[in-house]
Amino acid sequence: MSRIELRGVSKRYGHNLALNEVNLTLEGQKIYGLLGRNGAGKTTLLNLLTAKTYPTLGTITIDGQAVWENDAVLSRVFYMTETNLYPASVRVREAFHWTAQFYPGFQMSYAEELARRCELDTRKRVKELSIGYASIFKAILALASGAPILLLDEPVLG
Amino acid sequence: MISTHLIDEIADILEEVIIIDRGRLILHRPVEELLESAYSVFGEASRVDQYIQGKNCLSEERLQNFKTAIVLAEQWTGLWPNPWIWRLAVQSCRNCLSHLPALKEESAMARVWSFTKYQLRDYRTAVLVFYLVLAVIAAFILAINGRVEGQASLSGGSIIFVFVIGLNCFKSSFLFAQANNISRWVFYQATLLSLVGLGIIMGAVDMILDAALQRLPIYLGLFEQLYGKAPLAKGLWTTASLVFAGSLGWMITMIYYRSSNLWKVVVSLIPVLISPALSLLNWLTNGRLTFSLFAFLKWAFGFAGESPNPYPAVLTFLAGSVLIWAINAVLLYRAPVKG
Repeated sequence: MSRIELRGVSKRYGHNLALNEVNLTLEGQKIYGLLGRNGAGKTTLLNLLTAKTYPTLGTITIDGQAVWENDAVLSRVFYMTETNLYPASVRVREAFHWTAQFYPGFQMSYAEELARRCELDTRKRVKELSIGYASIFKAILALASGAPILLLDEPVLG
Repeated sequence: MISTHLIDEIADILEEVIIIDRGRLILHRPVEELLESAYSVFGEASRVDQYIQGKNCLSEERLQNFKTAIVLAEQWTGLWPNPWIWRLAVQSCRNCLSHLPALKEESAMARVWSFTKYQLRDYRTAVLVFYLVLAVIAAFILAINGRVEGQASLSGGSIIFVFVIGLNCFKSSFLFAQANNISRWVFYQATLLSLVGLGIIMGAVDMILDAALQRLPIYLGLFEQLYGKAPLAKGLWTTASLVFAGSLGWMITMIYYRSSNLWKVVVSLIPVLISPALSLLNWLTNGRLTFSLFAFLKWAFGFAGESPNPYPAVLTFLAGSVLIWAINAVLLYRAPVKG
């Protein structure tokens, strides 16, 4: 059972306080919606949960273990980011292949089936995908990753 | 967890809702409770208006004589954060317990190895193209052998090539590592291993190429030009110089990645400023600086003794690489993800 805990988490970017003393506990086997206006701090929260950025204050744990630089924890989380972090020249099916290398629970046949159903051409390069297809591509990686915790940032963009 | 500001599209699959505003957590409740918190009223416009008077109305929509209003239940009035999420309350909510596959945890060591493979695969095309070009040059040397005077050499190109690979080994790979939730420390180890691996592989290929071309009278490898014939030392020297060149490129690209725009300018000016700075210091020390610097370089690369010795150069390359790796570890510390 996965349990995500944030205790007194704040994040400051220069003069901008992106998160202000957030306390939050998320239980396993549930679907949560994280809502807020543009610039409210949603992406910052997810970036902190996956050690993309370091908190100014506070602690973030998953099942009691700190997330920072902790691959045992990080490999159990798949984070579908809003910005595209995939190398531009990588092809969709190559991205599937490498994700399977880093997430041993990755279900290749499921990913291929989803791509077929969404009419996503797996021979295309990631940079050639439209915004909508880029969202689909990243969502497929997340859904097939086999990770017990999925974090989806703006999954329906485009 | 799903983060969005496009509420309509996802509202019916959520179980709990967390709302943040200006960095503050303002609400965390089950969807059912939110659904119960508001109700809609539909009817003749005047009667609806009468009903909603004094109540907390989230939205009103009028169509000719009729009107729909979304009203917040009384016990919720103080808790409701912002009218714009009213839409959530009128969406139906469906529980979606997904079936999770058996959990497999990936060890950090396995991830280091996987990412090393990724990095090497990333270099592969460039390396193949590079050796294709070298093969063409080698064929050219073969063709002019015996027809012209002078010397030809191949191995200097590899060092420059690996330096360029080093310049390109960081940013897109780091972002890709982050896309797969790979820690900075695992990325660091994998990149270091991949550059050492590349140095060993290319060093071996260069040795073979050189050995093949060495038979031609016109050909003299870079190492032989500097140190004379010494096969074992040549292998070590070639590999160490390639590893150093790759690591140097990696360091430069990381310095740029970590720099703000102002620092980028400062860093770019360093090579320009080195020459005048050296001249000034030289003038201040009556030429002793150039003299000792030159003596140090001669010593570090094995030209201090009577005949050139490649082993000090091997040690210098290795010590330089280790120093660069230490600097790179510092540069990667808490490195942000800049897409």
